[in-house]
Amino acid sequence: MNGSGAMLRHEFRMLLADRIVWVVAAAILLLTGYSVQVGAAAADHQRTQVEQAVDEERERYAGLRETMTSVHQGEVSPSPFQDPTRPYVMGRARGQRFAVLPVNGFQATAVGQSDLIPPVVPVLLDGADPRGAREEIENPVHLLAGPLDLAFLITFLLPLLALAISFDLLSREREQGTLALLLSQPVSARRIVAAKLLVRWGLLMGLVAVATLLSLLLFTTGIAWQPFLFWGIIVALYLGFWIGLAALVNATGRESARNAVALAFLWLVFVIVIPAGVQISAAFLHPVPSRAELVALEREEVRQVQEEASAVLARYYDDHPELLPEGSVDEVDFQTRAFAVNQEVQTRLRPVRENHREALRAQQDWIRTLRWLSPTLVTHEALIELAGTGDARFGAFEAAVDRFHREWVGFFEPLIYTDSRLTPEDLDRLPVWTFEESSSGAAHAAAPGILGLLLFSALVLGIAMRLLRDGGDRRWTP
Amino acid sequence: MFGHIIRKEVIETLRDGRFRWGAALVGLLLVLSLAAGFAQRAEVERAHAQAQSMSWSQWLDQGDKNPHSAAHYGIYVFRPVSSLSLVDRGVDSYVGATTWLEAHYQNPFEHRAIQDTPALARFADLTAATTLQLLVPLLILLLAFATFSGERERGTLRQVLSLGVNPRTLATGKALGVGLALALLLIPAAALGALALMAAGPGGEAVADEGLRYLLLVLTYSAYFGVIVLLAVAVSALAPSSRTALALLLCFWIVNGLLAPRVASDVARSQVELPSSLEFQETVQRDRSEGFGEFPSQQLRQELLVDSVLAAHGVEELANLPFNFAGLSLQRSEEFGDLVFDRRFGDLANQVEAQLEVHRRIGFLAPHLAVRSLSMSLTGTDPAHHQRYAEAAEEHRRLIQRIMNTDIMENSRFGESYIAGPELWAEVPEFEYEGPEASWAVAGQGTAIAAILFWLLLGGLLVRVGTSVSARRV
Repeated sequence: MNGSGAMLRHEFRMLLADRIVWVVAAAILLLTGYSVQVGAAAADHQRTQVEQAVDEERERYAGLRETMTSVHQGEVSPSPFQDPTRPYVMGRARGQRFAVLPVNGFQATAVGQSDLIPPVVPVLLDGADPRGAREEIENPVHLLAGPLDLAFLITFLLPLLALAISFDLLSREREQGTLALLLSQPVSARRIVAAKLLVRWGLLMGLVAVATLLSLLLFTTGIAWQPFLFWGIIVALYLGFWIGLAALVNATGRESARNAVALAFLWLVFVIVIPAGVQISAAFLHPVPSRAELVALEREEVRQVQEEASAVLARYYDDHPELLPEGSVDEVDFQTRAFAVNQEVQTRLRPVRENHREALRAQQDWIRTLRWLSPTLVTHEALIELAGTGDARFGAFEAAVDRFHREWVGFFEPLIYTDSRLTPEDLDRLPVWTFEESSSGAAHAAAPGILGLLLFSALVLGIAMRLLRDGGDRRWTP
Repeated sequence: MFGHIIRKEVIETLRDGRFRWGAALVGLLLVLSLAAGFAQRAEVERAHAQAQSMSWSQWLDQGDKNPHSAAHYGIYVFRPVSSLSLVDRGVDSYVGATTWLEAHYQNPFEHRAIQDTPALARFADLTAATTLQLLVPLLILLLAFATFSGERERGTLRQVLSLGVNPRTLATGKALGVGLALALLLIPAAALGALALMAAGPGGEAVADEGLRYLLLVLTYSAYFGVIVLLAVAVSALAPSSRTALALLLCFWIVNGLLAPRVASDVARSQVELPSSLEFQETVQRDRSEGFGEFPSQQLRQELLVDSVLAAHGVEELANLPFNFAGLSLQRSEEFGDLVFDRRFGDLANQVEAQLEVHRRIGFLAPHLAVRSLSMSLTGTDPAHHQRYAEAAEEHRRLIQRIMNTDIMENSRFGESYIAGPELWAEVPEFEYEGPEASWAVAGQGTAIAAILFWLLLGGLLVRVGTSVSARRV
C-alpha cells in the first residue's frame, strides 16, 4: 500500500515536471471557463426570448380583456377580423398563446440543438410547429460552425489533451533508457502503467471538474447537483477510455512518435469518421422529406379544399347537427367556413407531416442504435441530454406543442361552429401552456451513456493490461 | 541533387505505413463525402425544382379574383442549389430554403433544413470541404512533422549536409516530396470531384462559371495544403525534437481548425451585433407606418398623395381621375415599403457581411478561416450568394406588385369590384435566376486571398529560417 502511494507520488512529480502538462492544464482551465460562459450566454439568450414572449402574451391578454369588455358593453364594435369576442379571431394571431421551452438548469454545459430550434412557438388555430416556427436572426456561418461549448470541449478536445500527456506513457521511459530501471524494481509493468494512468486521469479529471464547477458558479445562477454528478461520471469514464487507449497503444511497445500518430488516427476514427458515417447512413436510410414540398403541397390542399368548402361544412354539421346555428349551412359565417377549410387541410396534410416526423424519428433511432460504435457518440448524446438540449427533450417539447395545439383547437372548435361569442371571463378558461419536464430526469438521460462508456473503458483497459501482464510479452517482463 | 531529394522523400512517404493508412482513410472519406454530397444535392435540387414548379402552376391556376388578392396569394420561390455544393455545402442547410413573394412584405427566408435533422447532423457534418479543410492538413502534419527532426535524431541530417547539400535545397526538396506524395491522393480526388460535378449538371443556374470556379477551388486548396506542408517542414526544422514538433503542429491544427472557427464567431458577434428577429420586425413595421428620415407617416403620405394627384389632374373627386386611384395608391405604398426593405434588409445583409469580414481577417491568424470563406464563396454556398438570390427574388416580388397594381389602375374604376383572370397572371414572367460569375465571388474575398498569400509567404520564410537554424545546430 505504502509502495503504491510512493509510486503515485513519484509519477505525479514526474508529470508536473513535464512542460506539456502545464500547457494542457492551462488550456483546460481557460477553455472550460470560456466554453461555460458561451453556454451560459446561449442559455440567457433563450431565457430572454422566453420571457419576452411570456410578457408579450400577458400584455396582449390584458389588452384583449379590456377590448372584450368594451365590446360587450357596446362601447366599441371592431371589424369581424379584429373582434376578439369572435372565437376564430381569438384563436389566431390576436389570441395566440406561446408554447415556450424553459431553460434547463444545466443548460450552460451544452448548446446542443437550442440555437437551431426556436424555444418559442406560437400556437394558433392554423397550426403550431417548433421546427417550422420563424427562426431567430443569426449569421448562418455561426450556426454552421457551432458554438465552443463545454460539450464540444469534452467530446472533441479533452481526448486530444489527454492524449497529449499520455501518448508516450511508456515509450518515453524506454527512449530515455529509464524503463529497464523501472522494471528492475519489484513492481510489475501493470502497476507502473496503472499508476501513470491514475495520475494522469486524476489530474485531468480534477482540473475539468473544478474548472467546470467554478465556471458554473461564476457564470450561472446555481448548480444543478444531480445532473452535475452524472455529468462528472460521464466525463470521468470518457476520459478513462482515452487514457486507456493511450495505455493500449503504448503496450504494443512502439516508439513515441509512432504512438502519437496511431493515437491521432484513432481520435480521427472515433471522433470524426464513425460519427460522420453514422450520420450519413442515417440520412441515407431514412431521408427526411423536404420542407419545400410540404409548403407547395399545403397550398395545393388549400385550393382543393376551398373548392369543396361547402361540402366540408355540410359534412361537419351532419355529424354535429346540435352545433348548427340557426339558418342553413349556406348562410354560415365566413370565419366558420375558413376554420373548417383549415381543419380539413390540416387533416389531409397530417399523413405528410407524420411521414416527415417519422423519418426524423427513424434517423434518431438509427443513431441511438449505432452510437455504441464510438464512445464519442455515446458521450455527445449523454451530455446534450443532460443539458436538456438534445433530441429527446426537443422531441418531448414537440409532442407537448402538438398536444397543446389539439387542446387549443378543441377549445375553439365548438365555439366557432356554433358561432358563439367569447366573454372576458372566457379568457380564464382558455387552455394554458405548461411543459412538464420528463420525471426520470438526469439519471435516465445519463444511465445508458454511463453503461456504454463503462464497457468501452473496461475494454481498452482490459486489453492494455492483458498485453502488459507478467509473462505476457517479453518486453514487459523484468 | 534536387531530384534525388524529392525522389527519396516521395518513396519514403509512400512506403510509410502512416501515409498508406492515412491516405486510405482520407481517400475513403473523400469518396464517401463526395457521394453523400452528390446524393443530397440531387435530392434537394429535385425537391426545390418540383416545389417551385408547383407553386408557379398554383399561381397561374388561381382562378378569377381581384389582382390585389392575387398579389396576396403570391408565389413561393425555392433556392436553387449550386452543383458545386456537392463539394462544399457551406451554409445551405443553415439558411431558409424558401420565401413567399406576397403583397406589401419582403418575407425572410424560412425553413432551414438543419432544423429537420437530429442533433448529430451538425456535430458530424462531413463534406468533401470539411475533409479537405480539416483532415488533409492533419494527414500532412502527421506525415511531415519528422522530416527534419527525424533525420537529425537519426543522425542522417549531418551526413546529408556533409555532402554539401544546401539546407535550403534540402528543405524545398522535402516539401515538394511530401507535396508530390499527397498529389497522388488528391489529383484523383480532384478528378473524381470534376466528374461528379459534370454528372450533377448545371444546378438550376445557381452560379455561373462552374468550371472556372472549380479550378479556382482546386487552386485554393492546393495553396492551403502548400501552407500546411511549409509550416510542417519549418516546425520540424525549428523544433528541438520530433516530439516537440508534433506537439506544436497538433496544437496549431487544433487552434486553426477546431477553435478558431468557433471563437471567430464570438469575436464577430461582439464586433457587429445583429438585431433579434423581434426587433427587426418591429423596426420594419415602424418604418412602414411612421415613416423614416424625410418620409412622413403612412397616413400623411396617403393624404399628400391624394392632394397631389387631385391637383395634378384638376379634379375634385378620386372617382373622376382618368385611372383607378386604388391601383396608384397600392403601388405607391409598395414603393415606400421597398425603400424600407432596401434599407433594413440591406443593413442586415451588411451586418452579416461585416461579421464575415471579421472571420476573414482572423484568417491572418488561422488560415482555415480564410480557406473556408473562399471555398464557400467559390461553391456559391456562402451568405453573400444567398443574399444575391434573396435580392433577385425580392425584385421579382416587386415586379408582380407592379403588374397587378398597374392593371388595377388601368383596367378598373375607383370603388367598383374588379375581377381579373388567368391572362393577367400569365403576364407575370416565371421567376428565373441567373447566378453570379466567378469574378463576383472572388471580388468579395480579397481579405481571404490576402490571408492565404500571407500564410504562403510566412511558411516560406519560416522554412528558410528553420533550415538555417537546423543546419547551424548540426
